Amino acid sequence: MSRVRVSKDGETVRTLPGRSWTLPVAWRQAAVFGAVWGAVEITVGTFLHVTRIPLAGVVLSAAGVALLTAGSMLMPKPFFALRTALVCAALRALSPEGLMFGPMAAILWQGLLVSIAMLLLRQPLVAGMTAGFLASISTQFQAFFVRLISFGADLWELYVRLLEKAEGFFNLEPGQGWIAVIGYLLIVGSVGLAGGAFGWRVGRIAQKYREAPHA
Amino acid sequence: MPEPNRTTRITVAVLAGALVLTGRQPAVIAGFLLALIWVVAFDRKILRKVGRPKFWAFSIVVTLLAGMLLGSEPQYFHGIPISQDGLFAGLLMNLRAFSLIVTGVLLARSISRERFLGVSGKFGAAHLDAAFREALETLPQVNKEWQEVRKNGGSIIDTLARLLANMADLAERTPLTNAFAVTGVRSSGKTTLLLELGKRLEQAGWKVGGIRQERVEEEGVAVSYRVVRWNGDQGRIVARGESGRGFSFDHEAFAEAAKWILEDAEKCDLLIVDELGLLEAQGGGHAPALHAVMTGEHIPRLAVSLRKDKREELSAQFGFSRKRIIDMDSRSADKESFIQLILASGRPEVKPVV
Repeated sequence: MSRVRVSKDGETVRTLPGRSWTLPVAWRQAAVFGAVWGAVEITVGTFLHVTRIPLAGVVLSAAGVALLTAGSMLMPKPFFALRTALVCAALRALSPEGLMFGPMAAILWQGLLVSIAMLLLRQPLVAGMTAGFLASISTQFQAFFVRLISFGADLWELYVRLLEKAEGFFNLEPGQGWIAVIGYLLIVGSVGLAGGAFGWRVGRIAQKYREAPHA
Repeated sequence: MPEPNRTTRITVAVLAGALVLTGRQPAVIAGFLLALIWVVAFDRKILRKVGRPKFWAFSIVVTLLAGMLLGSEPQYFHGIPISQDGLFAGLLMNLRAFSLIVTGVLLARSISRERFLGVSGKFGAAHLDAAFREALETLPQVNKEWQEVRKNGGSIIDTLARLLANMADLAERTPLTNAFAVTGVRSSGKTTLLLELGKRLEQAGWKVGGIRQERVEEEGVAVSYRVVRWNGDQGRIVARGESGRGFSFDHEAFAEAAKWILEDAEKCDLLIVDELGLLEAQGGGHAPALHAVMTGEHIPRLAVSLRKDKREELSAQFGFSRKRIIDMDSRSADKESFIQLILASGRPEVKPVV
């Protein structure tokens, strides 16, 4: 739809809807929650980056899923989480380093996962935990695939040989190394699982506050 | 040395990336040299990206492990088998990674935020740009709300829940105050009530302006909609029926109506806008003019009519409180109370003389 441009006293008044009240409701909700998520990315993300805490991406993805789960309970519109992720990714693009594909892809992926989980599973607790589990695991896959693409197919061979050596070192049966890898992924996934459950709990209390704001 | 343009940057990035992705040794080395020359000559800032200790630690480990685990005919150093082939393979892996990181950074820099928003718009996220700006404006509010909810004490879950509840309220908060609305089905008397309201307020000394909408019918069927200025006899047809294909909108007529709205808003106490519907719900029609009014210096009281099937959407977008909407289809609709409510809100403050 073409937008009307208004001429006022010889000046052109900007009519592009850039204010909340000309935004559709769903996008305004996404803008507000995208800002909250953006604030989390900036503060918690920077803290984790500076303190060099291991698996920072897993913690951030769990926090993101928690926020989206709680937000989806408060704003139950289809694809709320994906819209919020788009806004947050656009905010992330403000980074001085310019567009950073890795974090932006992770944010969009989390939004998509929560949206689909909410649509299919309906129950916020189950949906949040499922999305959290998958989002956390996918951070490891994302890091792995980025390295695989960067360093090439030889890296895969290197990983496999390393796993075989580790099996020998720990006197494990051939193939048992993979069980350790799966175990590691389950531990990582459990962080996201907890994030989803945490988000559900926060969302439930927030719903109560909205119903009785002076409680 | 002058900075090369975007096209050159993208060409170099794609070329270097394509060369190293072939996997062939000469191509990988050529791609690496291209990336290295670019970085040294034009963009040393990229070195910060590849100069991170994490990257170097990983690269050294990969090279050493490749020497130990890949390749054939190893030579033993202090009992550790190291293969020359393996070391070379490890080195090539690092050259490839360096080149691809440079490629990624160059491509990322070539895609501006505007371009990202533009591409998103093409994939159905047309409101992303406006939502992004709204999010930017909301960021300080997030900090303020966070400081506020922390004062209440309580557990972290409780604090976060309060924050999110407040933010949810903010997402649905009504930015317009002293805005009143009439809704109802067609011919329920919305325009009649607005006319009555205008007349009564003028009698009470208020200055009234704005627009009203007239439905032009032929044999009981709407053929066009005309917007008429409240004061005077100026009018324009804004929508014409297209024989069973809905209505076509005249954007120039909307622009003129917007001009009337803006002119009247500056000097009146009550601005009447009849009517807001589908077009406004999508951000078009009279919505931009209302936007301009609400960002102006003098904000009058506002009385509008809302198309009933868009009532919820428009109320949320424009901020009409349920208490300030009269539903003409309701048996309990009290027109007199509605008029008195607006009168009781008082005339807006007089515009300051600069």
